[in-house]
Amino acid sequence: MHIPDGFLSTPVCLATGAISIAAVGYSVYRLKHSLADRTIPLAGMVSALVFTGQMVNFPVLMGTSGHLVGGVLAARLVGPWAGCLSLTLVLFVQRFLFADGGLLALGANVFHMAVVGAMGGYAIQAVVTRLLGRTTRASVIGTVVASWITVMLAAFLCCLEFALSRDSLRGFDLGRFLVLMILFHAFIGIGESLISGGIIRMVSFRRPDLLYQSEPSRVTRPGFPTAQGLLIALLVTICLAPLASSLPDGLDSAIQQSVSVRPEVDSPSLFGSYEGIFGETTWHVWSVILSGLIGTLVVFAIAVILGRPYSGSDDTTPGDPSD
Amino acid sequence: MTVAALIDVRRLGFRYTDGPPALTDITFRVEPGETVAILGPSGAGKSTLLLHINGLLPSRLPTEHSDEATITVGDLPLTSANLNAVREKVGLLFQNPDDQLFCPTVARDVAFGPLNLGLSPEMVTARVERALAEVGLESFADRDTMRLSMGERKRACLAGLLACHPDCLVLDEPFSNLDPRGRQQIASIVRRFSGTTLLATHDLDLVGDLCDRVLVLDSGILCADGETRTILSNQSLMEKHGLSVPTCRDPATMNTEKPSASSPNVTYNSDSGSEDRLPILDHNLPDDPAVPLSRPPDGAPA
Amino acid sequence: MTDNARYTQTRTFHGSVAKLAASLAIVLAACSLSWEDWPATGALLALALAGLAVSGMPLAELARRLALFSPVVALLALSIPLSQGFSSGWSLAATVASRATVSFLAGLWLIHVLPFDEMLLTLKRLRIPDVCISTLSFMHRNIFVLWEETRRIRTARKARRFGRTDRLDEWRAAIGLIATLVIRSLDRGDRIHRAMLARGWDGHFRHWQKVPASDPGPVEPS
Repeated sequence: MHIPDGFLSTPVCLATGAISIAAVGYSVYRLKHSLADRTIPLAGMVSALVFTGQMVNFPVLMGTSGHLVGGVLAARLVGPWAGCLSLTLVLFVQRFLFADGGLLALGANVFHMAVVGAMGGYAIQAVVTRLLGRTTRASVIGTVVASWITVMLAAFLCCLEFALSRDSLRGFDLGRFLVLMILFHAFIGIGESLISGGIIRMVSFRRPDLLYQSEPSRVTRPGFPTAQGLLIALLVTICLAPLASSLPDGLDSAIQQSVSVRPEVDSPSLFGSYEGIFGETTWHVWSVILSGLIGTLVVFAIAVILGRPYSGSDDTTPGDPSD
Repeated sequence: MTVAALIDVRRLGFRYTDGPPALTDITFRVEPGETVAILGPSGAGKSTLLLHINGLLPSRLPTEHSDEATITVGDLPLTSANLNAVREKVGLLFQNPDDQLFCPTVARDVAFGPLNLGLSPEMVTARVERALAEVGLESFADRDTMRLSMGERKRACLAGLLACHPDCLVLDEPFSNLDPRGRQQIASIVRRFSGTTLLATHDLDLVGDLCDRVLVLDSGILCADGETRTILSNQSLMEKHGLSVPTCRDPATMNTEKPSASSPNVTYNSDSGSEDRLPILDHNLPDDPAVPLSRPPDGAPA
Repeated sequence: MTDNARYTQTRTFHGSVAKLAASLAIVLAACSLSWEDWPATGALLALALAGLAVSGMPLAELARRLALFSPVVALLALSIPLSQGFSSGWSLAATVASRATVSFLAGLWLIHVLPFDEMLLTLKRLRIPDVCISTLSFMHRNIFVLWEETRRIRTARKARRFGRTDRLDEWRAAIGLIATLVIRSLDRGDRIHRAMLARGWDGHFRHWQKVPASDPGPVEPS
């Protein structure tokens, strides 16, 4: 997930950095007013928590392992502002203590994980939770959905920035790259939603007071039926996926055109190869739709499983260590 | 300059959210310069009571007594207006030193309190050095707070409190998780402290050594308040509240530093094998020497 | 503060800023070069390696860090030609990999020559908001506390597991581990907050450096 230096061009790094500075600056401003003297211990503790949580390995396949990203988790625990600050600090410490992720790309990483992950994730989960009727179950489902969407969104933004980084895309099919990234991140997103959802599930049944509550009133409204929610999600996926996968195409051609204006970069073979690919079936649109549908179904299954009432016996508590 | 201050708690009640009352109608008074122990089983409300003395539980939920509840430290009643003034007087040691040490080095952690008092860097340095010397950690100033033994951590915490020059120390289980030497080191710091000390502990041997008076707290109710010797040797009272009479010492010889009056008659029950070292009370002593405090006398002296 | 102390501080500050700038310059230079400029990239690589050698980073440490870093970058770089059916994108992959490697080594050099504490001081002098710096320092300390806690929880779990595991169990256990960590660390955060309040905390972190022994300072009125 950490973008190293060199993947994005310097101007794109600076631009994402500027967005990140603005967002984190605003978070700090909000924190100064809302949390006052609790900011430092709370945000510091959650940063340390996310940092440590990221070091816990989840075995995937053949010795490889994944880990938590933690944006939605942090936002769920301390709210969007402290969550954003915490994730930023996590990325900072990873860069300056472990050389993890790029120096120039720090802004982009903060943008993806702290701004989109924590702030965006918080917004998504708040909307989903509200739609589902503000129950514990709804909040777990909201976390699952938000985790999935933020990872996919980050992957998508990453592709977009990658496209913007290249001043020429000669012979490079951005659509295919996007499909690969989206597919790869679909797995990461499923892992992330399982992990965050599982954690929030356990915390909200064992210690609901630790979760961030924006509104003190916890009125339970009749929720949105799950089946309808699934239907809407699938429809949105079907409508958005072609849009999403045609966006880089549009971007692609825009870049190509701007390049062609510049005489020194213009090459006659450029449009030929491009039209050749474009002339093929728009297979990547279909694969994005398909992966979107499968992903949506899987995430929904996770949401329903994790959202079921807590019996206490199904989760293996990790032992009671000596304090 | 440390001035021993009195701690006066009246009709204090407290309840955590969604919980049973943690404290019910607590009234007691610690005279200036006294060292008083709070005994009681785990979960009795000792830590909650100590947090109150520092004004750290502001969200006091209404109980039937809370309207009249007052806490006074020295000449200051604890209100939101003089919260910080009270905190300056009271040095509170937390149960787990890791909760208290949060700076990278020992010296910086000790400096945290004095800095918050607004002292100049020179004065802070002087206070840090003196506080570290008082707890015997002079050579640890630049040590990472993570790389300390439990005893060293507790002493570093105490240095952090002493550097603020408090009038009273409020210690939450200062002797827990320590080896005998560590306990003695903490005890000697407490002994040398000239102000008022209120400490919650399970270490009855050290209570006998250090404390003038003992309060017994159980299920949030103050069950007994009396002289150390009297309470520690009252077996029925101690066992009723999940405490045991000190096994390896004779309560009669406790508190040797204080020239106390005649020691009570203590006999040893020698016929039961397992309990042969437990002192059994002489029947000359009153049945329950502790003052029952569930209903304090009206118009108690201020 | 004595002149001597102020001088030392200023010098370290300038040194730290120079180190930061040097690292950033190498990264910027590397990111402006593509695969075709390999002699220049090679020179930067050599420079970063030389820096690491001078800074005295043990070879084993360097190898360990590289072993952790290279698969990630290799995966990302390879994904570019992979997405094109390995027909194109190789030069782009090589460019990404070479830039990332140089920048990684420059970053490694930086963290080796600029300890975290010094880094925080430098950030403070660079006018980064105090909240961020204090939170960073707070986080830095608690990472180790939580890591110890994680180890203890894990050991306790291992002791009761008797060697039998499957993947689902491991996922459940890891989720449970983090959830337990969440509960404990937030509770601990609350307790630390209280401990800070008890020592007069008002939300403003005051920095203090030990005044050297040569300057005894005024005797405190007591």
